[in-house]
Amino acid sequence: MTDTTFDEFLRQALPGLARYAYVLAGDRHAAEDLLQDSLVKAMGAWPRIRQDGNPVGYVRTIMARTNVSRWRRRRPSVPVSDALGVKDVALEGVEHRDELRRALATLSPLQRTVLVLGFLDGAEDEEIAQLLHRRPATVRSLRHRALQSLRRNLRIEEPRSQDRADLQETS
Amino acid sequence: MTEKLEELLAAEFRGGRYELQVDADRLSTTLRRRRSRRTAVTAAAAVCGLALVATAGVGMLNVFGPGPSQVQSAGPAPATSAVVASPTVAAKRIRADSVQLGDAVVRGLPAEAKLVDAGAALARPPAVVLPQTGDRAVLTVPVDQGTEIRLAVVADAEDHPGLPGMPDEQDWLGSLGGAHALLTVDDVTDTTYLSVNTPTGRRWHLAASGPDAAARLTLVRAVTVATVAGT
Repeated sequence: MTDTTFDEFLRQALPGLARYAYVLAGDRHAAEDLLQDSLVKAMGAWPRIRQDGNPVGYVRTIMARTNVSRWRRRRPSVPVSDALGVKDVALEGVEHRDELRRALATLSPLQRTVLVLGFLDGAEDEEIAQLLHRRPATVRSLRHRALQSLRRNLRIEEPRSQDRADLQETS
Repeated sequence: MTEKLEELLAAEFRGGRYELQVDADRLSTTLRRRRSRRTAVTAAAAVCGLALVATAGVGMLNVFGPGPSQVQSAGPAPATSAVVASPTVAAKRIRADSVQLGDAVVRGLPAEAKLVDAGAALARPPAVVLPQTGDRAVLTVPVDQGTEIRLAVVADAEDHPGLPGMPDEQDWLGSLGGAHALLTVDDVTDTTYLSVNTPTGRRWHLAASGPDAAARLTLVRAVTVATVAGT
């Protein structure tokens, strides 16, 4: 019964979960691994997850945590400047999605996960902090550094953003 | 300008590039196969764990005479979890590394461990499985990278039928002065569980939650070794 229900859940939720894994991992093969690892965990805890009433949210949380737990093993290996090989890219140049993707690929999974939770899920810092077992100030710091890194790699001028102001408030 | 980058990120994450075609039936088969492999490993580990516990138990009987004979196994966890009864006594810090729980003392705590309100702390995710009875304390312990471990300690609970997760056999579990111990790791909730029955009849139950499994294990070991030694 548990298996059947899990299979039903899988069929219904798989497209969204697969996409979420891909956004988190940023790479097709890593996304497939992340998806499988997370679903195996979910399968083992299925009675509890089903009882919780929000299996999609639960599996997405497992995914985010699993992605973060891998972060020490999977750091960016290519120097940003080498990976991009671009100079003086104006903000308009960011329109070229490939450049943004390559810049995103240089972030650690932890930084990327913070950005995905914030910009895709619209989660507040407190929620992200709770989900990733970090402090809110750490989440702000991670996001700030991630955005700073993206701006640097995309040659976007560093503004005095709200994000930076938030960071200063907490430091 | 900042808004522009943020908008670009939102558009990137919501865009169509990340569609991943996965066949549900094939994936289901793969998951079931991986799950059964994992279960087999768990069962093997549990058998080894029980054998070691039984051996330690016999040794304990020889040395200390009759003691608690209940051998715990990593069976199905209780359906109820997490937010449990209020502490029957207030946990009190008595030294930098110790907290008093009734007449029991939790030792081996890092100096930076902070005693927090048990009810409020356990109401936050991840939900952990704890005995419904017993004196309890919850502490937060900061670790690297701005992370922290939430450690729940319960003393002298009446009973608990098992622990969630997979058994993790550690050498030091056999060096706890004849105590019966079971350690499990629950990947779903990033929690390491430990239950210990000491020869003096004291029961300890620990649940450490946090993203770093190695840090959780280090903390659980330090607290368990120091606490059981002082029991």
